[in-house]
Amino acid sequence: MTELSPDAKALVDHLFRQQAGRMVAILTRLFGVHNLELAEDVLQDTLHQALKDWYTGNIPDNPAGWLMTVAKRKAINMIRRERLQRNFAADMDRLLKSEWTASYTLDHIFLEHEIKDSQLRMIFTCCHPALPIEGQLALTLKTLCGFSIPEIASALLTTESTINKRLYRAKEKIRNEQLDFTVPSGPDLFARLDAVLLVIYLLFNEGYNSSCDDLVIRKDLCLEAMRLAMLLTERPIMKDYPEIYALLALMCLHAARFDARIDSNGCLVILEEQDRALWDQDLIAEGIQFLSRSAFGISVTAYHLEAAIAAEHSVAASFRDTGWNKIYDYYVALEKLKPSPVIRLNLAIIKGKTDGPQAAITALHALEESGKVAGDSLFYASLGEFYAQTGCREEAVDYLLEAHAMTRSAATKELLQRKIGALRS
Amino acid sequence: MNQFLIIVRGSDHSTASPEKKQQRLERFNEWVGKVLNGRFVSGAPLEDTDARFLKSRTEILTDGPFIEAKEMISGYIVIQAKDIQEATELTKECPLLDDFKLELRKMIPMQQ
Repeated sequence: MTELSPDAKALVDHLFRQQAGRMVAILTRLFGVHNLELAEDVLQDTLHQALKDWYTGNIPDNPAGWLMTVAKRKAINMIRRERLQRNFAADMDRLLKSEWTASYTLDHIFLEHEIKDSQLRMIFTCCHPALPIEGQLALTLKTLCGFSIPEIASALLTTESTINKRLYRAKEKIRNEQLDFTVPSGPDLFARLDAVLLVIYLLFNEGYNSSCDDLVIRKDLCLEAMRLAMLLTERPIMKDYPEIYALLALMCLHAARFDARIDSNGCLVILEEQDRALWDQDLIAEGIQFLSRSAFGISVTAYHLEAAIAAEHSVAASFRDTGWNKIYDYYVALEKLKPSPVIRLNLAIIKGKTDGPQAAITALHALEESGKVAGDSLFYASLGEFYAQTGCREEAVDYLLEAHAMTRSAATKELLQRKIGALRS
Repeated sequence: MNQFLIIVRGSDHSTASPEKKQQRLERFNEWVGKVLNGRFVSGAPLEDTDARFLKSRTEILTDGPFIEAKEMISGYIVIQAKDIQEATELTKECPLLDDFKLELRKMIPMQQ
């Protein structure tokens, strides 16, 4: 078999990732969420056929449309084959089983607005609070974002067999507890929306901060998280929910710095040393806009505060000119909302910017005594950094070495190595 | 709720154009959606060919139903309705009536 040209392969990969979520969503709408695996089978079959037909170079003019058409044809074959053994989506089961109505019903479900609606249903089902959070993440990546099992394993820093188990258990739970495939309404909606936003936030963080070394996967994670959040905003009722915009703002403002954070060798570049000309000004503008749209209602959420902090960084002309005092206040508010060692760590670091390195060192040691930072490489890296700034090279090297031993990220290790080298020279 | 069988009498499989059949199917589905509105149970259109008329266990006339096209059964539909009056009202709006005759029969529910 001839290999696809690299260009064609990249196109196919990208397209599959993009379309897989749409196809699985609409197929699940037809088959019912209890038949999620059937939907995945039809998807696999469709992608397989695309690879077979396209590898010769005959990529159709509208590949996305081609995929949908083939998926539809395969769906009707599947329905004909399985209609005596299975029940499909309850509201369509009878219509799909009769030849009077099957094709017509299918034609009317493979429409753009139905596809979008199905994707929303899928988001709420994948992020159902009855599923454990790690199951929610894996399922979202698999069904909505078109990630393969190895990609999910790599993105979530675990093994393929663990991911397989999580997916299996999640699907089993969906079947056994008969979780529904709907967008909740009324007061339910907002409670469930919180769970959805959390998954999106975690996906984005996984992409932005994780120690996964595959840059493509990390960037895709961030983009997929943003895409899912955008999908939510298309429902008019969601417009009443400021958190969505705060989360979008937060993601845009961070994503704007994505390319500047990593140098040509794949090494992490810290904020202070980033080339601000590389920051994506369009994304920053978009983020600021989302942030102002999020400013309604009565509650200030963690998403709001984190977005505000990111915005403060984004608009600063230089590291030195950053509004550290404002950022400090935001962190104080954030600490009250969701107390965590990471936030206290950040507070200590900012103290270093406003009151000098010695103040930061004192704050960090106080944090260490509270016993909440063990095993955190960022903590030791920061401590090392501030000792270096006060001229205490030996302490600095010790703490940086400790940080180096704790991180799993190759990029971070590389960064720490360079610092240690500079201190020793 | 009772179930009713609608027998579609008459056939134009061999004479109607594909466009006409397509249009009829569209209108049929609109009827299912708007008029029956959840009361469609099952059904299928039937082929004219591949038909057998069995007179007894031994006597099988193999060449089709041997009746005139207008008496042939070209499909069946099962619907739900409260009673024969409601079933009749629903069936009256079925677009298949433009081309065929419809026979409406109440199905005997299974005894509990």
